[in-house]
Amino acid sequence: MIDMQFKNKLRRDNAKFHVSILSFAGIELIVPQSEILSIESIYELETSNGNERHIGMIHKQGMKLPVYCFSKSMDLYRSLPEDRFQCVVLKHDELIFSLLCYEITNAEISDIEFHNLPVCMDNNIIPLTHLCLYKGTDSVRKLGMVTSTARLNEYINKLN
Amino acid sequence: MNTDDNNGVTAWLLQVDRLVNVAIGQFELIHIIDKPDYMSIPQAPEYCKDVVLWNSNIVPVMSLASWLTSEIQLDSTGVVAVVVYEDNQGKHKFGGIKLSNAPVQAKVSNEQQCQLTGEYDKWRKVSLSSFKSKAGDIVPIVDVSKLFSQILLS
Repeated sequence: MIDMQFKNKLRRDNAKFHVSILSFAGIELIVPQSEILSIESIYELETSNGNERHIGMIHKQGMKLPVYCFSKSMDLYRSLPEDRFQCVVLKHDELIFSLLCYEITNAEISDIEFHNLPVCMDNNIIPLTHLCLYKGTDSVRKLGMVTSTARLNEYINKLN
Repeated sequence: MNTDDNNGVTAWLLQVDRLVNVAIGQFELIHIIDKPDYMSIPQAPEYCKDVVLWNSNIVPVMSLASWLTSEIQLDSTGVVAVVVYEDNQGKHKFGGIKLSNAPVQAKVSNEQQCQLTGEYDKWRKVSLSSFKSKAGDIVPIVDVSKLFSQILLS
């Protein structure tokens, strides 16, 4: 099951986990809300020439941050798709970068269970830390994919 | 598999590909999901890229057709066999196997035992044994615990 360090990162009080749900290309990634530095407009994006892993840059706190854009299979897009409207800035320790999303929503979830990735599929490439079962706002139990800034950064750095 | 009379043991035959059946033990198949609601895991191996929610469990789903051919397979029927196995710590876990058709029961006797040869060589990795069906096809008897271990990743 989940390691305590990760659980503590998500838990802000005794009852609820504070998460952000990043939606794009029909998938949803659950990340600790504490790792969301800000949400920027897509109009802030300066697109790059397509030879880089990132799709462009944004300026934040006097820094130029790379902005990445994932497909449904989490390959990197080199050109801007039409279904991205928000740019989330993720930060963990010294790591800071941005992702393009369709939508970003915050949620406080009390009923959430974290599971390790099944060993038969855990190829050390999957850009997730855990899978989870949680109750959505409609009280229906749902499957979720959990990741973190560190895991995404590690994943992006391994991509060509 | 369960030895229940002199005619052999009872097994489930799972059609995992248009041409390939595999066998598992009678008590390893515990449920059939019709038209499952998959969640695809990005960057997972093609043969095990989906999970389903079943009975409050997150169940990884194997496409043995993809594993055999190393190609993307279209899900023709959307039927998944839920199987139970013990992991390497002795805990009960659940796995899913995509099927091309509904499973059927069959009796298997020692006389039917045969070797995995030629195109079936790949099955050695995850098979306990194999037998020849009445139609003359080779049917691997799958070791479900191995199938859902890390063995296919190596």
